[in-house]
Amino acid sequence: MSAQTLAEKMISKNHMGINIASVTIGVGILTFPRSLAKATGAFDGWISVVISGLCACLIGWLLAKLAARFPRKTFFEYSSIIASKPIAYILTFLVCIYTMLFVSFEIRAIGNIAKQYLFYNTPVEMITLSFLLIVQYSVVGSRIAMLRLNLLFLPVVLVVMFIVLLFTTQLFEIENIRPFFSSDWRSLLAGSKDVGLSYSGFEIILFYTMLMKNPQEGTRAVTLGLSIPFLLYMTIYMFVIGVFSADVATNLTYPTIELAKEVEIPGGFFERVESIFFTIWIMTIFNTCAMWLDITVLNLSSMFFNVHKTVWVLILSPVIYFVAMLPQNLVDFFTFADSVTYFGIAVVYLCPILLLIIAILRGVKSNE
Amino acid sequence: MNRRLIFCSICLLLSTLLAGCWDQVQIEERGFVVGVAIDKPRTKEAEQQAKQEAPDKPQVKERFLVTHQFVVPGGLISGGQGSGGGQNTANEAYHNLISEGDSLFEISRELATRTSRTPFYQHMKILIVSEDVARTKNGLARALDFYLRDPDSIRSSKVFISNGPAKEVLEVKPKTEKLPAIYVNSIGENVNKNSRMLPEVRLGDVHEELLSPYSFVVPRVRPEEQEVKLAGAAVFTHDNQMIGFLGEEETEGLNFLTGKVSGGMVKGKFKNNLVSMNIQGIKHSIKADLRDRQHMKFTIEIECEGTLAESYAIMDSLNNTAMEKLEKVFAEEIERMSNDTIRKVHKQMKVDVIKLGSYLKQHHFSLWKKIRQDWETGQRLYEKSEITIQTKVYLRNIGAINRIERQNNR
Repeated sequence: MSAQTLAEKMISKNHMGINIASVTIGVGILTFPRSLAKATGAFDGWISVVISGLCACLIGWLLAKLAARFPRKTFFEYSSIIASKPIAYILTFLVCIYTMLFVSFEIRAIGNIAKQYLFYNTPVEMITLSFLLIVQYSVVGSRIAMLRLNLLFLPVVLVVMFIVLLFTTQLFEIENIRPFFSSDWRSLLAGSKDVGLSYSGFEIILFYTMLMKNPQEGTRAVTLGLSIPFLLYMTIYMFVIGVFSADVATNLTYPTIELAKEVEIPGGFFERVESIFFTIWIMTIFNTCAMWLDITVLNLSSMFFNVHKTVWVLILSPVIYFVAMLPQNLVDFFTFADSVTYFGIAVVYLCPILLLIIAILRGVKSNE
Repeated sequence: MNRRLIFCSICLLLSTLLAGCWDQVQIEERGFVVGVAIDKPRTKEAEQQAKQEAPDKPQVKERFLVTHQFVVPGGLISGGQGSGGGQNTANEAYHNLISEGDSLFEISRELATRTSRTPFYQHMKILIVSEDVARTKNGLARALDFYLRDPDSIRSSKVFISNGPAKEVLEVKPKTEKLPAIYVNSIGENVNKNSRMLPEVRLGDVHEELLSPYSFVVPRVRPEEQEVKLAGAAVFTHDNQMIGFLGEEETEGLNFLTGKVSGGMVKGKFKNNLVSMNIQGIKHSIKADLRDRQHMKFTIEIECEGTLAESYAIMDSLNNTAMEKLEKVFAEEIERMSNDTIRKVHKQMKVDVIKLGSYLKQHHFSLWKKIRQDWETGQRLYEKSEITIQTKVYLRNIGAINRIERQNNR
């Protein structure tokens, strides 16, 4: 055992949970309070966060069950066992397109937001490119090492978020959050759909279960992994509404950034807390991006195993970069984001659930 | 050997990238804006000049005269008379730049042609809008849009409405502070000493109020030669147009009605002698009788706690009945002030700055959904409502002494 190198080591249940939390916390955390406040128009949006969190948990549980049926098998391998080789090829290929588009989306988001708040003169192209280069670098290396970064970054992210929220408590106004339970169920459901987009990410369980020491623990990893973003979204939404009121939150482009900008540490010796907030947010996007790119490469190499990982990264990067540059403005970009997620719902939620049903009906199990 | 050569050349090539930073701004090149004052231009001179230069340019009705207050870091060094920055002979720590135009952004950029340090808004402490601008339709919203939209500015700057030209606030010469903007900002933090000023209203709060369907108030500032007076409030209607000011005492009454008193004093008359109380805390609650929609009844209950601060009346303050009498005197005074305010905002101005609409929304939402359109507009249910006040004062302490003179002295 002790002779094992880092690359051969497997990941534990908790580590998998952290991976899921890191991949889920991404761009959505900045924008979801706006769409949720717009849909529900009140503090009650937290109910939407709960509803969509439960939905995500259920789907994640099903996906984990599917992956756990086939220990040490890649997504391509088990889908070809369940369905057939041609279908597996098509499905895996679609998944690759989805994960690749996701990387494009994330790096463009970094470009947009960094340009708006940090680098006024640097072209978006340059910010995006340099970020993509770093993501490439982390993906080309050892997979387990890349996943280890999540363990390193997530606590920092959570602590800083906690501090930001702690200092906004003095701006919290109780009249902003009342009345409770004023939205009807229809708007709550519409809100759940909007938050649901920010929960996407837990589908990595489909692909990373093969690295787990004990694949049967996948379901618990999903629960752990989703509970972190769930609690985070819940508190952020409550604070955004408490500090800004629903009317203002609807009219802010990035409510969470504005929340960080409102923070004033008493004493005046430290202003502009949002600079730290940006740092940690970029760290989470880095993790998200690296994992998505890694999954793309993982799936491609499972189909064509005689091509080296580095080659795939080098082939994919220009495509990712090109797609990332396609949206012309902010509205375009948000539409792009939504369509990627809807595509994802079909490819990584519905199809695998269908696969699970077929597997159960036909009684297919790994022949290990 | 060949590999090493390639490695070295790659390193050299990459190092050229390090020198390229698009966003490098030296701290000496930043012009830290601490205060901004927005006025209406007094004369039409600049407007006509602009018209002559470009007759076909699209014309907008509003024009703004904006004063930016920049920090001059050399002037901040204390004691360095003449030695700290030889260029600054007056040794002033600030520099006001005044510019005119029809867009706030245009004005901000216009400054780039006149100062070596371009405006940087992330440390803006105060934003003063003059009464004239606030009184025009949508004036406040137009004046503040740029500062809210610009990602480079902060939502925590304090906002004031000036009684008179706003730029004079940034031109006062305070003796205690080097920067007029910081001086005004610090005064704004004294709310726990005096209840005649409104609690601070930040840029973010104004955004909230502009979007909300309620009327609102913003602190008033009045410039004088050497100082400013920060008391009173500017009243805005639900469609965000300013309709008038509340005086100092009316503002105090409003603070009692909304429960936003964190400190201050109340005067009263006890047996024809003056007594005053130091307020230490206030509790505020609203009770509503909503059975008749055309005639809603609100009862605002104010409970105030404080200590005796000054007493010209000679009496045994340690006596329980005397305490009770004093409490009653103060309660009556608070009631009087609040009633004066209600008379003004409820009967004269007809604006709901007491935030009863907000109360209804928070506690009687199903009713509020039905009457939302008829509150300050439409059927004007707010005007038709009735507001009564009940006050209770708790005098906790009489201070360090009981009597100042012998009783039979008088």
